[in-house]
Amino acid sequence: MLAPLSLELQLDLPDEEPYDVVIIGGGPAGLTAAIYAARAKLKTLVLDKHPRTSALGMTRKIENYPGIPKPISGSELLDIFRSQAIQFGAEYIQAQVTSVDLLKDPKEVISSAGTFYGHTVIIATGAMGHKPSIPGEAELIGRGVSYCAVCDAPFFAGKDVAVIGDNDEALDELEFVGKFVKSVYFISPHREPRASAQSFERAKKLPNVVWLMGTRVTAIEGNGKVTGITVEREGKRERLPVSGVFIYLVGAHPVTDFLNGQIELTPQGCIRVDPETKMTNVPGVFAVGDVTCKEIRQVVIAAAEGAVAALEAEKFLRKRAKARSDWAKTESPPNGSVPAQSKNLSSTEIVSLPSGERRWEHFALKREAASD
Amino acid sequence: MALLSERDRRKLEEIFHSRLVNPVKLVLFTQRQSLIWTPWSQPCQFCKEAEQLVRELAQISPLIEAEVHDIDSESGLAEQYGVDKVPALIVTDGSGRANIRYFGIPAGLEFTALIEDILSVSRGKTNLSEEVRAKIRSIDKPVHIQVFVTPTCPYCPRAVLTAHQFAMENPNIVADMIEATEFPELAERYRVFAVPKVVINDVVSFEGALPEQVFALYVLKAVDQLAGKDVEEFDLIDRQLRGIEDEGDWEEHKHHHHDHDEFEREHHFHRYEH
Repeated sequence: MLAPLSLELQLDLPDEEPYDVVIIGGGPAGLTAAIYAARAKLKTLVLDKHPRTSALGMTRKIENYPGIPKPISGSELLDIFRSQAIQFGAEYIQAQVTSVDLLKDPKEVISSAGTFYGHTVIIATGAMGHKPSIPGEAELIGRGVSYCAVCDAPFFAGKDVAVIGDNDEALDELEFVGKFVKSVYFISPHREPRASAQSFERAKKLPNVVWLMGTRVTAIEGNGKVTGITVEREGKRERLPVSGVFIYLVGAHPVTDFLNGQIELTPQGCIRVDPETKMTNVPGVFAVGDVTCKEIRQVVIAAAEGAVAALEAEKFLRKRAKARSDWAKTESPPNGSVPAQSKNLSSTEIVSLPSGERRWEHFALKREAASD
Repeated sequence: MALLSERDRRKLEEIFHSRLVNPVKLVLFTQRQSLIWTPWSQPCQFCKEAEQLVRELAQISPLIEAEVHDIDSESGLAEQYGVDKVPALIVTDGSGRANIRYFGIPAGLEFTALIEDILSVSRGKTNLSEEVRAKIRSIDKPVHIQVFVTPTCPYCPRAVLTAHQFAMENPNIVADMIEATEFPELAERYRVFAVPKVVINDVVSFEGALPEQVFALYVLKAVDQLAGKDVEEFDLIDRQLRGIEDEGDWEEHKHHHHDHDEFEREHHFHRYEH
């Protein structure tokens, strides 16, 4: 039995004009990159899986970020970063990126909110990726194991399923799954979900959820199709018959699975970048923050790298010899002159890239001209 | 009541007016409601709505023509179009090509895919890169791509559009969207539990919205036309996608497709007898 479908029609045609910078990830690195890129008047987009699932978003208290003397929660600090980026003109969309084509120009980013195009891409996806690690998980992907409730929940209509993981994303997806299935086991390794109070309060109202807190899943079972899971709590094991398992666990792997092997990684699975410019092996593609594997994982370092990447992206786009950071000055140049580059180019002029490729500089230039 | 909201209708009016080039025909097969239901002839879930949708779209632009047929009373034509289930919608430029197809109503997020298809067919040009276009055009064997979707799946329209663009580039390729919730037996038969699921010629399958150049490698693989460095690239990506190397997997696949052939024969038998 499959669930009846809604007949709602959704019309969402993609923006045909590419962005100057598409930033994947809405943590401190990605949002700082957005602040700098937007302030440099680049057409900037941030794609963020969830505002509360980054390493910082899940941090309860932070008191060593310069300029913020009072302890605040990680998600509060992120809210400040985000509104600062939006204030400068960056677009923010909550969407998970599943796939990219970085070798095309413009580069293509495929997400749950559609396909986006960017002349440059900054990857800031962090290092909280989950790799199939529960016995049986890898073998049963697409056979009852799913990572996308909105995609796959209809296949489990009227059946029993499990949602594993306890961040805000897991709770959001739980709500969607709950509409289709008979009952759902919500399985969290912690006693309280690592999620915002409001998400948890909302989820607690769902009628068909069995809450298994402080519980671990030790195996996913099934021969060609999920038939059950084994859970363990306080040393006791139990088998639960389910036909679907939705997994939202947090791990410690750099999130690179959406890159389809187009970017060079280190043997540890981190994105390899030029230490100075943060550029990857693909021209115009940068990576910053935990996804590049840091010895010191601190918000201030991620943020600093985001700034570097944004300015390098800007330099890449306009082929400047040097990155520039004092964009405030160009808005009111001391001697009233406009920057030399934009003076000579009309908004639709074609510019040759060093590689011999050509692309339209439409956006950046039009925007810069408008503010002069 | 109209299926299209007033807001969408106005938006489409604008888009069609500015972006349609050549006429586009929407050929729809439906089924009249039968009073007798048998286990092998499930009633068509959304035939009425699909017909309404197609007619509403045709009203928006003079360049869009709706053509509605009945699968039972016009079974010869249905067979000609290769239509074996309803609702079936074919987007065509009217030249006789009928390889861009939707089985099940293109509602939810798939509605956007339908509109994008209409625009591409009208323009007579795909957005594929030159490299991918060349590879797809080089295919000289029949290819059948089935993309299983659900209407709420955000990644699915992308997979459907890529398959349909391949079909636009090469008449040897027939590309179908299949809305899994309307054809549960087919979904069961192909073991669809995660979407988008793409099945090519019943020999190759993958899950997820992959970039066009990776998708193209799977199509080439299905017709044994992988060559040069593509062989290596395909192996690398395929292994990554599967997460694990599992020899038994392919054995099981073969067996499963054998099952499918038997099912098809059985299925057709029933339909014709009916």
